[in-house]
Amino acid sequence: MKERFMKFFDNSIGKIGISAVFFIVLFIFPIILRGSGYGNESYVEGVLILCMMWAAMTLSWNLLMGYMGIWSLAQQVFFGIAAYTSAMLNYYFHMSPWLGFIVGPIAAAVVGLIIAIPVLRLKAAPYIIIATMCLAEIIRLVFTNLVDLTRGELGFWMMDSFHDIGSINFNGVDKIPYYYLMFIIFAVIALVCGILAKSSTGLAMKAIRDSQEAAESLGVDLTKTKIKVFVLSAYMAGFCGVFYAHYMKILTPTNVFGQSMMTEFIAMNVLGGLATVRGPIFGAFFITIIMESLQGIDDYKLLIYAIILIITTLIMPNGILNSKAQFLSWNKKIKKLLHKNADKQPTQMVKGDA
Amino acid sequence: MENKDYILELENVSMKFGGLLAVNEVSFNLERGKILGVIGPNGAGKTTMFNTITGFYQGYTGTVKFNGASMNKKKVNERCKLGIARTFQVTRPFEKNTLLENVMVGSFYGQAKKPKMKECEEEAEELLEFVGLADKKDEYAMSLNVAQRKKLELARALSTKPSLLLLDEVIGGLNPTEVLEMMDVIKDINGRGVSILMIEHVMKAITGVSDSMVVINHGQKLIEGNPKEVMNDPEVIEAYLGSAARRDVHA
Repeated sequence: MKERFMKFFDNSIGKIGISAVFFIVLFIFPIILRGSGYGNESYVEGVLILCMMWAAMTLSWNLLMGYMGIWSLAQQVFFGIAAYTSAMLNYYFHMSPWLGFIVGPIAAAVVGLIIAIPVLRLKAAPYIIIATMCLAEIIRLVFTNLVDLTRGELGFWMMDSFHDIGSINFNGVDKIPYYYLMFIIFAVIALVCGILAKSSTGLAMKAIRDSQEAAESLGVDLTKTKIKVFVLSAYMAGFCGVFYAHYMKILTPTNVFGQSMMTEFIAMNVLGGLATVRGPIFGAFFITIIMESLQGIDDYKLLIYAIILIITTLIMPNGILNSKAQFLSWNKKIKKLLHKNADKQPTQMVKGDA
Repeated sequence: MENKDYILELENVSMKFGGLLAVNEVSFNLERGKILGVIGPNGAGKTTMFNTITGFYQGYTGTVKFNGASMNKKKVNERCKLGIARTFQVTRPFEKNTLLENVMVGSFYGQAKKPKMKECEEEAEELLEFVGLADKKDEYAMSLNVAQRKKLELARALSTKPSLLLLDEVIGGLNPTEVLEMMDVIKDINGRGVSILMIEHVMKAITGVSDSMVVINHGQKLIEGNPKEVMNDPEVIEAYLGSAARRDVHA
């Protein structure tokens, strides 16, 4: 029985089945929530919206880091650029926030292209980390200091909510419209990642991660593949940024361009498992829900991420979902330990009795 | 002489790293369908020469001609698509990919025309069968031992359907039985019309399969000829065994 259960998780039909169940549950969750008569549904929906948003962001970073092994620490920049682009165009030129979903991701993709070009020339991870971190920091400083345009650290908050479509009202009193909007973005990004991983591009990405020289000698065009994935990854992150801008309705450079958001993505991805689709989703939901339920620890957030990162990299470097072998070996060890104790116990009891 | 059909021609190729001249004015030709062995002491510049042929080093002077056309401005992946494939001295498998995926990369990206993924999978399976790794096709490459890694390198290089194959010490680190197996595989590949340029340290093996040989020392070509001539050349003996040995031979 246990064997069969384990096998179900391994074969592809099982995997597709599990992800289908996950998305269906997520889809009907608000309906169940309202039916159950739980009072604070708008809070729970809010948490799930965040879960999906961070999952989508982590998925987009996973394409670069997990699949292609490019240590880019500038994913939050794509998010922030798209958010600011949509918000500022809305405020200064009265562009509909819905059009933001076209303009924002394109702006993010252009920035992705600009960041990709210097990164292409670097092969070793430390240099890529330094280059991308510095680029992110430069962009953060630019947005902090363009006070006339962005209001700097005071925060940009004058943008509209998404305009109503017919009777669907995006004023924020009811979270359902936002919930389903985010659900669509998240589901599409997850689907694209899944398809990409199985495609020929996925093959090239994983080859580049394991050995750039070998990949190149087998005909993979490194430049083309890297630029393609960078731009796609930025484009995906852009959708989350635009959503965030018109959902949260306040943007500060520290919040959307700061390294702390990037740290979150790293923790989520590493915890769940790199180079899988389920990994980032699991990591994002797990960490977001834990952080929300342990309120008042906001100040220690980064410390907790650091602890999570250290522990996962030490004891299960492939992430929770990819460590079946590890769990099985622990299981064996525990059983052995219990066995030993079971053997010892009777003798001790006899002694005690005597 | 001039009517010979050369697949690879090197004309005065030099490669400099700072002040170090790693390859110095090396010229030789490889006839289509033949096996050319390259030998030389460690650090003689053999692998550097390979890297100029495959395009990993772009800053060389001189000309590398493949099928009569200059390759000088071509990048590594472009040269691969034209039909130059290589293996690495220090094997570089895609460790966290299955063997099948490893070979599929070359099959999909390395050929002149991009095939469908399904065709690549079939080709990859055939090639793994050919090198004797078919039963491991779904395992990760990180689980392989040295001999298997070398075989995987070979299968991967072949997946690009090359007309010229560069083998960088595919026999190094193998035990005698594995060497014999590998030699058979190499002869088999050559029998299918693939020209081979191979670097090797195992003298018995390389003299056994090569049609001709080139000796490189201190970045320069010492001698070129058929294996017998080369092995009896006093300069070659000196390069390998030192001048005392040369005196012994003459005495």
